[in-house]
Amino acid sequence: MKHRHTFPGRIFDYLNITVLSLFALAATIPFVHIVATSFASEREILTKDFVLFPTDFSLNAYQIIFANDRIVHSLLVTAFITAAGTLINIVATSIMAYPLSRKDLIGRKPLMMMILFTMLFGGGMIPTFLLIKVLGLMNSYWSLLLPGAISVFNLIILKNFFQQMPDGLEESAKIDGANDLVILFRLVLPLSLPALATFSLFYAVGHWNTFMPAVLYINDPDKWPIQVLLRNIVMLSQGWLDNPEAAAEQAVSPETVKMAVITVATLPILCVYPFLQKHFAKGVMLGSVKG
Amino acid sequence: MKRSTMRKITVAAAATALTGTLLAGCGNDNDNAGSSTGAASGKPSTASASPIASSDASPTTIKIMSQTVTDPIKDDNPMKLELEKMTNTKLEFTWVPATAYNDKFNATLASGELPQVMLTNTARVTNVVNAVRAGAFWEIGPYLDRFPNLSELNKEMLNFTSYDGKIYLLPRSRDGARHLIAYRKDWANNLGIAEPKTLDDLANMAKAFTDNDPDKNGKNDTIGYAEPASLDALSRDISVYLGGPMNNGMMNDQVVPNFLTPAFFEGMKWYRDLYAAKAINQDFALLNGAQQADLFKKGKAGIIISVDSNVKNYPKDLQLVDPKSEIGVIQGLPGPNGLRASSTGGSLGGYLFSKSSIKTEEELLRILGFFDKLSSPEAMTIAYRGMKDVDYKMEDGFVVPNEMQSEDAKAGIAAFSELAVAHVKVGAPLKQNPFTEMIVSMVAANEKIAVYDVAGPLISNTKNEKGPELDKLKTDAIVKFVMGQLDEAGYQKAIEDWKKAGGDQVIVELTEEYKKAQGK
Repeated sequence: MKHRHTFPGRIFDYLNITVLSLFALAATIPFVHIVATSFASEREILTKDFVLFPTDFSLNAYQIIFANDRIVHSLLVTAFITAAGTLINIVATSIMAYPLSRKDLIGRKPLMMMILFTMLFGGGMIPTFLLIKVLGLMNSYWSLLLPGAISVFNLIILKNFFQQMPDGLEESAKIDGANDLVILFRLVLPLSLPALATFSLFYAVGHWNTFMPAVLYINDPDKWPIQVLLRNIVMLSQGWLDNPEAAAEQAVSPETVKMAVITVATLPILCVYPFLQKHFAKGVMLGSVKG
Repeated sequence: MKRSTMRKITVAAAATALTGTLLAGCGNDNDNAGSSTGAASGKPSTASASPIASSDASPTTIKIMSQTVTDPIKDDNPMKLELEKMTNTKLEFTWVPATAYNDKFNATLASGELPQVMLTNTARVTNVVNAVRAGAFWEIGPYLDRFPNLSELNKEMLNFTSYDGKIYLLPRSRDGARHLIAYRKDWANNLGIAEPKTLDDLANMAKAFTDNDPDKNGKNDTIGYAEPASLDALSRDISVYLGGPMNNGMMNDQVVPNFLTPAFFEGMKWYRDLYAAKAINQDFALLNGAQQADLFKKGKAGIIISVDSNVKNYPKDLQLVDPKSEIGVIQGLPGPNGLRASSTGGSLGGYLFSKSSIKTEEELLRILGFFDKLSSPEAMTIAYRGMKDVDYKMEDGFVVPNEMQSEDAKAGIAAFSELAVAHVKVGAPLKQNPFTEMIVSMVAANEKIAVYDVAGPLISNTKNEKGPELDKLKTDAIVKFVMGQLDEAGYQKAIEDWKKAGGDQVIVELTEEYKKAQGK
């Protein structure tokens, strides 16, 4: 902001800062409220309308959710799915995007058409379920890792990104005797780190929030990711499925427990953001601008 | 071959292989899901086989898919071991989180590979009806009388869940007429209002709670009557008190939904009047059931109509907010036809028995035998209360549960209360406080005067297909009328739109089904 010394320029800056701060607050307050509620006592929640800082501090909710190892176990499952899944995503997306970015690839056009087709038309829940069943992926982690290993959208952005690399780079590497794989892994990918970081984040958040596939394909409760538990706890207390008759059969967790579970399930993935933040803006932009 | 050509081919092959991976993420289009269940055609034998396996026979393995809201039960859970011993079975569960059960159920149904026993919450929906009609499930009706406990199941309830007059579903017996009116007795005392005897009394009480500062805090911060967007109490209670049907009734020799009846219109006017007087929360159209309950639990609203299990918990929650609070409960209010109550039919979903994985009649009888033994008083006590002297003590014939339930008991009760097809009252009675006892007796009294949905057992394809959009038209019209944005002519026009959008077709189909059923 040092470059603006004119009065209107400064006014504009202050206005910008104010508006953006308000937006930032609007985004953070709900989360602060959730964290605060998880540390408040049951009584405080009932008597106050909105808690931003608990006056009646209590760790009761956390004692309840960590009373057995269920939550921790699910978190570990989710962490594994996120790490393994993101690795598969990034590797698969890059080794597919790279050949597609080469103009001398045989059948490049029809391949792209096929890929775009999958982006526009999906089978839907039940056909996919049947497919997973036939492939024998039921009840294994692969059912959460393999389908959707490549997101078409990310693939296309990455392909365009690779296309902008100067041709000379590849040429000179070839002259030095490098083959395609070496060029991709030793040259192209290291130069694409911002883009890869961005897609890693997209993919990782997707895996962290995986819920429906887990419910459909995984029968073994020991393999349930955290979101399955979270949704059970949260949905139940929201007049679940609008069926009061059914809801009344169940013991509903107190509000504080609900918020504690949300906090525990969301914090780890939130911690990933700051580290990728610096690549983030760069990475998304890079594929879009023709250099 | 030149290197460059070789390279092109390699790269092309790699890319093609990956396209395959990618395509695997999206299914192929397959439209006829849901009807490809290979079902053996078995007619119930007339010979009366003895279903009760002798105690020295090896345990029957039963594969059951059901829903859970807590941690799934562990294999070494003492309740599970005890019930397996009692019923001579080995239970293999597939637990599905309750919040996604219906999706998993639909996918499983479409896949055609069904577990032997499956819970369904959506027994009247098209895909289940089609599967039943296609012969995917055993007709269990003819066998029920052979079992001492299953033969005791309420016949009306079984009829209510039958398909085309035959019983395929083993329904889970639950209370059906569970709605009660709760109000703040301390507020009424503060204002010198007696317990309401009529709907007019209730409306006046709601207005007084809104205007006259019943909590005596000097602020105008209370409302009379809490209601959510579903307006559940209007269709389930207020309109029924006024003489209307439960969900669907007979009018001019046709099966019509309740919102076409004059009684329902009276009910809407009752609401409209309260809304105009600000005695109903003005934001009701935005609230869900939990938020509605919060209004009452936080001492903002003085009247709520809700299911008994919620009402049981109100005193505990209100004590935290206001130690002086006291709650009055009313069973219902009489209208022109006396006291009425509506019932959901006395069941909550139920179990279906797959023909493809239960191969023989003998096997089916063994599995039904499990549900029969689970319905005995001893087993039901374990299912709902846990292990004797571990999770509860008996005092003068009443169950007194521990203050703190163990993890095993929590998981076990959650699991077996989902499996129980008998009513909880079959088991040993729970020692309850007077307030809860009063609620239980009111629900029982309501059961005796209950009005049932005449369309309960009837199936309408149009309703199944267009249900959501039709319901939206209906709900919008009702909400707008209550909020005063539509007058009577506007409401009538909205109803005409509903009829044109397929409502007429639903009426015709349900009426045909009804006459078919009557002719039997």
